[in-house]
Amino acid sequence: MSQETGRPSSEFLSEASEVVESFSRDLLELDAQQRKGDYDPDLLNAAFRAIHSLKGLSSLFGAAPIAALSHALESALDSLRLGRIPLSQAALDLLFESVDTFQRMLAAVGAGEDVPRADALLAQIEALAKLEASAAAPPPTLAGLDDAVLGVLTEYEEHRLRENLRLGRKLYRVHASFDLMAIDVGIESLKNKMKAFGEVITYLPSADASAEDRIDLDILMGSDASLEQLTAGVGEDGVDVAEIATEREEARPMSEPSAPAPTARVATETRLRPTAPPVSMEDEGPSQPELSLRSVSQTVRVELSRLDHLMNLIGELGVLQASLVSSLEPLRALAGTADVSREFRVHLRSMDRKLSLLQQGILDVRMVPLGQVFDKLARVVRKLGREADKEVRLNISGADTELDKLIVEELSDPLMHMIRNCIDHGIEPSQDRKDAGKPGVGRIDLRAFQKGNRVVIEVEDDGRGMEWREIRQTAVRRGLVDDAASRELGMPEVLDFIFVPGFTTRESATSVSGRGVGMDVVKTNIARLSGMIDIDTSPGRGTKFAITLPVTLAIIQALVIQSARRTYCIPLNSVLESIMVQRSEIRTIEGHEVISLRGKTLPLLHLDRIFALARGKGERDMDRFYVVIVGLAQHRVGLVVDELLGQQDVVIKPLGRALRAVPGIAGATEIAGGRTVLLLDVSKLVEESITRPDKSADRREVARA
Amino acid sequence: MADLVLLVEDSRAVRDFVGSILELAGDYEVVEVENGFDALRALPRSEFVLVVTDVNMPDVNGIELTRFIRQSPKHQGVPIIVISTDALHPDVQRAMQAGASAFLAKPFSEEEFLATLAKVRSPNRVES
Repeated sequence: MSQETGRPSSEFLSEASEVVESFSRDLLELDAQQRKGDYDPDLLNAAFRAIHSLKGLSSLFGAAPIAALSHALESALDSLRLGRIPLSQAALDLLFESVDTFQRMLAAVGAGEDVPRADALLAQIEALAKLEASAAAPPPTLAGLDDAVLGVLTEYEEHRLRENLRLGRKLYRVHASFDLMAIDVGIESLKNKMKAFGEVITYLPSADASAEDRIDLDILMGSDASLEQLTAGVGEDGVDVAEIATEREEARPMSEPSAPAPTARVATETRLRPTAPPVSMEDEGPSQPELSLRSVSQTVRVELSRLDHLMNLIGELGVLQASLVSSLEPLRALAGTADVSREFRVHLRSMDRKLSLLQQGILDVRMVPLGQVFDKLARVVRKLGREADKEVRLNISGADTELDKLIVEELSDPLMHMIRNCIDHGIEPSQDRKDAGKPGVGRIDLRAFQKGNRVVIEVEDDGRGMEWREIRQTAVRRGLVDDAASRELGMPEVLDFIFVPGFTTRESATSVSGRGVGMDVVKTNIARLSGMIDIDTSPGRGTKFAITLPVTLAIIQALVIQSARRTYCIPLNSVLESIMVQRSEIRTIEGHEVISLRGKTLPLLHLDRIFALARGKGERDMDRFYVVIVGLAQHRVGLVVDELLGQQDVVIKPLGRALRAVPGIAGATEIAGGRTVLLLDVSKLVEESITRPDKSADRREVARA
Repeated sequence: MADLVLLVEDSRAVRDFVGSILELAGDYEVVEVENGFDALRALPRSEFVLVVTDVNMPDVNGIELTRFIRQSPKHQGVPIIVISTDALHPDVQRAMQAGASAFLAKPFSEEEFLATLAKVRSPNRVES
């Protein structure tokens, strides 16, 4: 075939080897489970998918003997996973033999030798695939699912539905609605809950009710649990569970209705194992001396500045790579250069791949456990508790949660301040606590855990909590809001006042937390790390602060845009979508420009106006422009820009002093062509558009890059 | 700006192969994702002129993704090419019924891919 001439075989080799290794791991686990009784069908499906990928790969890259063997194996595994043939020891032996054969074949490709054929094995596998299960019972029908649903399932998914019925399980449809921005976090948490109850078969996305930026999913699963048990177990806001009616209902007297078949139970337990909760670090004593000695000998301490240097170099390499890509453009236009340009492009892609591996490698090196800062806080709690003459116990969990070193460093001050606040304002004196019927010793919980691609840190005390109506009164007294307007405010809005500089409901500051560092500084610090803070409080029972942070700040994906011929980057994780808008679609409500988007009003922010960018002559009269819809929590704002230039991974660089004070700018970065551009601070822009829509005009001129 | 193509495929090497064909073929920028969920997230963010997706994927499969795209106002008319290793597999038929524009069976050559691309992109190309 023509397409593999000149294609480097290293890409093929590395991926094919990975696939064979993962196939081999699946087989080993499958074998172990099979010997114990029953196996997890997901494992067999994973084995099928591995070989399916290998077949696609090897056929595209012209490795015929590998393609032939994987083709035969794919059919055999398809029959196995569809239950047409049983997973016998003989079948497993053949599968294991094929692992060895693939490895020999790949070694030959690597050495540039002729790939050996494996005709004998091939014949045996083909014979296996032709076996049909004897006396297979007629499969149960899926009467409760309409054709529209059945039509989008793969054959395997349909088989798993029937198989769950055959094992005496019920089928459920779990309906969930997710915010598109939080979909990975939401699905991961729901998936784990569902897996504890049975087999999750497929996820059907639907657009009909997905207003704006939400997505609806119908998840089909099989489970031994009753509707009530499942609802209690996976139920959360926006999640509905419904049982799918099946023919089995009528046929029930034939089988035992409530006691699940033993095979079903084994399979369920098998699946439960990987989702067992991780052991809490909370109560662990000092680690074994032997262990720590060994870890010392395997660790190298590196100065952060050296890693930063490497990180910058990688960023520059990325920029260089992007420049190479653009220098390829003119080459492509020249006649007779197709081959050269193709080769060039192939190498560039391979370089791109290696660059991102390098980038990931450095990011991994930068990750450190939060325990480093938690230990410091434990000491602080002891010291401050003594100073304030209060008895406080600190409970730590999730100290092994990892974050970028830089973030961990930056967290120690805000966390310290929050702990001070807990001790000073939250925890009551011992006697007051006893009078209120609480234990005399106050408790502060410091928890960290990973949630999707973010890390959440919670600081919770069991102290007096915050009386939000009192905060509201103080806000009125301080002139932050007028009396009438304050009555419209609910608890979340009112709690936001504690982040206003200098805000306190106390008349005098104490030595513990009255040191001029308020919650406003905490919020600024967390925002600088692209984090968010949520507060939950209950008078008399305590307060919980939850900080949500990205795992790393060093590299982000950004949307590169242009406004008034100046280029900016917008972090892609806050971009919901980009649309094209006609000037005529814009309306003005109370002096603010808005558009209607799928029935909702979306406020617009003009980047050129925010940063007071001068436009060239004739540039103003554009009939159509792009609107980038960005979101923060529940708020949505459309940023009006002139051009969308594309997406890019960017390395964030700290801002110089001149720009640090400019709201709306989060950092600087380099893009292709070696230009330095500014990264927009979406949270600030959204926040300003909500609170003070008119203030944007007096933005300082320095923001013009 | 280059036309955006969404490529949904879990094999790195296949993404590379299809990605290079597209980038060499014209002014295309390829957004590569590994699975159906990432595809769902990528769709509203941009205006794609073409979606190329594997059929056999865990969680959200290529048929489900096709149906979803056909329901979404923003991309309902976008050409969708589904990739499978077996043209006769029932899953391919289902993807076509769900609204896929064309399918390609692996292995396919650059020429075959380009012919399919031309077929799905020419009839009613929409200017955005």
